[in-house]
Amino acid sequence: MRILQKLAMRYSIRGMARSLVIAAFVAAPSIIFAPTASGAGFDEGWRAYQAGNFAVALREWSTLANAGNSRAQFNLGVLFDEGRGVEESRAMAIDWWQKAAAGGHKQALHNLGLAHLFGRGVAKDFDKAIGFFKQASSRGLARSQYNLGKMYAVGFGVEQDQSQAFKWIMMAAESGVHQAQYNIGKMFRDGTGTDADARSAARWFLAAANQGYAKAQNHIGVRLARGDGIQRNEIEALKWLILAEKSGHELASQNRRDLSMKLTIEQRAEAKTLAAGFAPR
Amino acid sequence: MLKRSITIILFLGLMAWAGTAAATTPDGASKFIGNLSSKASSTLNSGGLSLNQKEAQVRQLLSESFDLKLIGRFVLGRAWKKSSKEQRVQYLGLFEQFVLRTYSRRLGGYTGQKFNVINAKNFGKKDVLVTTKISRPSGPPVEARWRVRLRKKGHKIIDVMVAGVSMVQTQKSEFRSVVKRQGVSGLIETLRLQVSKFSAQK
Repeated sequence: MRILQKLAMRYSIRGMARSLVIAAFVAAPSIIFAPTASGAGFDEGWRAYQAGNFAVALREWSTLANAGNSRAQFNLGVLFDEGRGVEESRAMAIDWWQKAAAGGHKQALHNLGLAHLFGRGVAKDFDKAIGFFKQASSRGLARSQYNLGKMYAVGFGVEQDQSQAFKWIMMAAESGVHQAQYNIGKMFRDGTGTDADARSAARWFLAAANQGYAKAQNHIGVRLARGDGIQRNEIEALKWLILAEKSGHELASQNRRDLSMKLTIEQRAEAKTLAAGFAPR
Repeated sequence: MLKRSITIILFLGLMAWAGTAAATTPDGASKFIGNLSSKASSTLNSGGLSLNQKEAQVRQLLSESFDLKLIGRFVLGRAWKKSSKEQRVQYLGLFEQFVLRTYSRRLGGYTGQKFNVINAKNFGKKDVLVTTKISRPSGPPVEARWRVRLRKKGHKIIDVMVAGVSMVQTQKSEFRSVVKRQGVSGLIETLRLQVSKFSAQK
């Protein structure tokens, strides 16, 4: 009410008009204030969390979580999981993540998958873990898609199945996960879970390289130098190898030295300029 | 009794294995940790930065202060020698992420928290154990012990003990059981999965 009075004062509403404004706001609190108050509580919690005032975050999100807000339920679970503003409790974290997951919260589903995979706060259960990752994946969570792919690829918690691995890693690659793009590149290169395809391999290595992933930069550098699945271009090749080396990739360092020896000073200078102008995208 | 003996043997093993650099002094190690503490404190208490930014800065600070390659190799134990070069690179990258994430979260984030160096004592022939107290506005203080060694590139932390539990020993024992069941590739996958956990979301 005090806020409303201030509002009315601010806009110089007097007498009857002022009463009407206040009455109108009071008559429709659920329409006007409920969503704002809910959002404000969440945002206030978020600001407090970012500022390191975890007790305030806990208070704000608890209120919303108890009212069924799945975002607040997830974050409250994180506070318990990380022991921030509250005694660390995996059981409480799981409890809140389960509530958030029931509301379809993707990250809650993912974290529940991990909890079941490693038996943290719950009994170890690979089937449940896979189930949670699949639910999160079906909601478009790339991290869960990638996890599933890697689990099938190495037979971690599931029977090894390279075609399943390819399917899930491809989903994550298409969502832009650079490690997934790099891995899909390798799967195309080796014909793992799919037919070998040098052009597709180069395309995915290039996608990951463009995001700044050093391993992929080394791979695409080597392919460009050989013209393997991609038009041969030694200057571009050297550019990628310089970038990979700069990120500390040891093999790229050797590859860069080998290629540099074959190129002219002008070509090396051009590659160096291109590398200097590179920005991940 | 057997467990205790194993722990002592592992500690002695770490000491014997960990190289030939000159020994540090309690004073030198104390200053190193004190300096690290004040940098971490000023980062964590600085306004205008988000928690993620603060944690990223603390991670960078810890990355420069820990000898993560040494720790990573040690905790992998015998499996290090059997692992391929690619596996080692993958493992060390993930181990670094795993440790830095764990410790930057465990140590940081609270507004107004203070680090104090309590004391520093020689530990073995080459190391110093520096005890710190981390006081927080809410909750009990946390005591942490930092095992510091003088390496070629200066002082480095080679172990942390919180509530008497050594990070190096805990990880070594956990990793050994994973490697036993699933090999080094299984351990790499375990680390990769663990660092995929989501924290709070906006």
